[in-house]
Amino acid sequence: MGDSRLRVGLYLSGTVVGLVLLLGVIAPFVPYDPADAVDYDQLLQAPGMGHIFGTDGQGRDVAMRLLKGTEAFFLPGLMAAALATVFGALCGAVSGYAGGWLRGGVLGTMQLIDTLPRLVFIILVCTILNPSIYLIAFVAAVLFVPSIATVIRRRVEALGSEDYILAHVAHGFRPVRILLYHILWLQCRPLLIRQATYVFGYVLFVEVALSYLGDYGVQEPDPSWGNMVAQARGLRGVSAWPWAVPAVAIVVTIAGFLAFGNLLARADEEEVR
Amino acid sequence: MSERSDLLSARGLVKRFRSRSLLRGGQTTIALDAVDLDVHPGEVVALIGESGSGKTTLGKVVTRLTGLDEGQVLFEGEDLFAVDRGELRERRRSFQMVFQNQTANLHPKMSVREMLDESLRLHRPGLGEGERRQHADELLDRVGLLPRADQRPASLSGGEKRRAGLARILATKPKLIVADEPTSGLDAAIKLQIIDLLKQLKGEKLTYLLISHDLGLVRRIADRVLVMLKGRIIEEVPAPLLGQTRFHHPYTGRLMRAADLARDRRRPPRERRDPPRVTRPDEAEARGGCVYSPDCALAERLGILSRCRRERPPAQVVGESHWIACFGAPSELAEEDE
Repeated sequence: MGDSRLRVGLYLSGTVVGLVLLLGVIAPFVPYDPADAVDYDQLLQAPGMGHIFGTDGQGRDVAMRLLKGTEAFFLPGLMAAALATVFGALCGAVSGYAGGWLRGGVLGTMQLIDTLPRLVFIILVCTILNPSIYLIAFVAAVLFVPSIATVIRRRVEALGSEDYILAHVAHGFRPVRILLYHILWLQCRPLLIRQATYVFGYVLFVEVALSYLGDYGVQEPDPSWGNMVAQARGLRGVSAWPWAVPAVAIVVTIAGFLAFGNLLARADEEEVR
Repeated sequence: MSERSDLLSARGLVKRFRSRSLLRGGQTTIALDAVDLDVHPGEVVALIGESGSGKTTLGKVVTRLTGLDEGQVLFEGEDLFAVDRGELRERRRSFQMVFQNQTANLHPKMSVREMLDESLRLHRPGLGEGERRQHADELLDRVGLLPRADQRPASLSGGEKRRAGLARILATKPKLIVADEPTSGLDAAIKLQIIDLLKQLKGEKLTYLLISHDLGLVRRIADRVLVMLKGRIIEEVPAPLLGQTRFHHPYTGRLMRAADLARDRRRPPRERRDPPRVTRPDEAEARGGCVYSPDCALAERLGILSRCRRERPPAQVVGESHWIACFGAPSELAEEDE
């Protein structure tokens, strides 16, 4: 039941994810000089031959800027997703399994981080350090560690009292193996997939927000999806393409990643039944 | 009992459970009360007794799956509670436990073959991949699960889960298997399969500590039977004598009658003087006395009730390898069973 719908959703969102990954991988290898791309003979062209998404207010190809714009969030997003997931899983596992000062220390640190409002804190970091997107992604990852750790900790605590985990102890497995393989890998994978795609989506969101607000994100003339929208703000009523294309790309990408994570996790869960 | 040949030897085991309540203070339940237990290589020792008598706790204590308040557990002469964690893991392959909950022995996300492979990888690190696979197939064949090897626990039946758990345990080549209710929750035909399998393995020089209140199973495969009540072992009897002798502890007698009644429906339930089966009267004088005394018709009849409540009855030998912890033993016992 619902199996075919799940599969369709998985294919659809998988296509979005695959496309973004493909763009993200090839973008760095496409030569592009944003200063050189300005062409005042081609302002605000509608989509057509040569410019599949048209051109912006300075005659630059929107499709090209969209492609190069992925560089602003792709690697940082992957990095943040990986960091947050790995550290979140480890902190959750440690605080769920260990006792005493270790558990208390980890839990306390998590709670402390969790009190920070994410976007505000990131903007605060930006105003102080004016950092690269990588540092921003790192901060975002750290901010996500507590929520992932909490989910994992609850799971570890719940499974820790299950008889079959005791049976694994009785069988002679090392606690480290039980924790990392039998609990985290085999039982928490769906949770981790969900969280990882969420963090990736969040980094794109942060990048867009910062670039749109203007002071701390990617600076013109370098493209990013956020500053593309920001820049085309003035073109309302003149031409929709320069802002509609990146805006749709942002929404579709974030939604696609979240849906993919969710559906993949569900598929992973359902495989057992 | 020669001390040298003991595989497992436990002395004076005491285990208490404390329930903590902030307002009313803690309550202590005594799960094991000075229990001695010896298991010799190649024999099957059965622990019987009602739920809550401490059978499972005893099984967990002698495999060090739970802590111990007092006493000593020697496995092959080595103090199990003195070895460090790393060594304990090494030792674990020699004593394995089949858990009562049939899903408990298996990881829900691994197929039977994956689990066996993992066990072999852990316990027989010398084997190559091909050897492991061959070995896993042999084990699966032994428990009759070869056709179901790639299934996960969710798609196995209760009996198959039991057999899968057993296969996994056999992968470690254990010297002692603690089997907690290996046939509970199975229907008659599947139960017989498991009993046959256990019997066949017994023929292969395996030693069991069998925890069960299934007297049919106990009669079929056990050599020695220990009867537990309220954390104490109150009788040791050779399995063939179980239910065949008149010299039983009054409590064992009651267990036998209950089992026979359950099995033989044709027999009309006669008036019996079985009192409500709770120990209370203040937990038999706070356990200084016999834990069965408040329910014991024999003690009442013999007029020794006050003694039974105050003193803990020592083991009284009533036959070869047969003792009873009862002040009524041995002569007067015959009268209890009509």
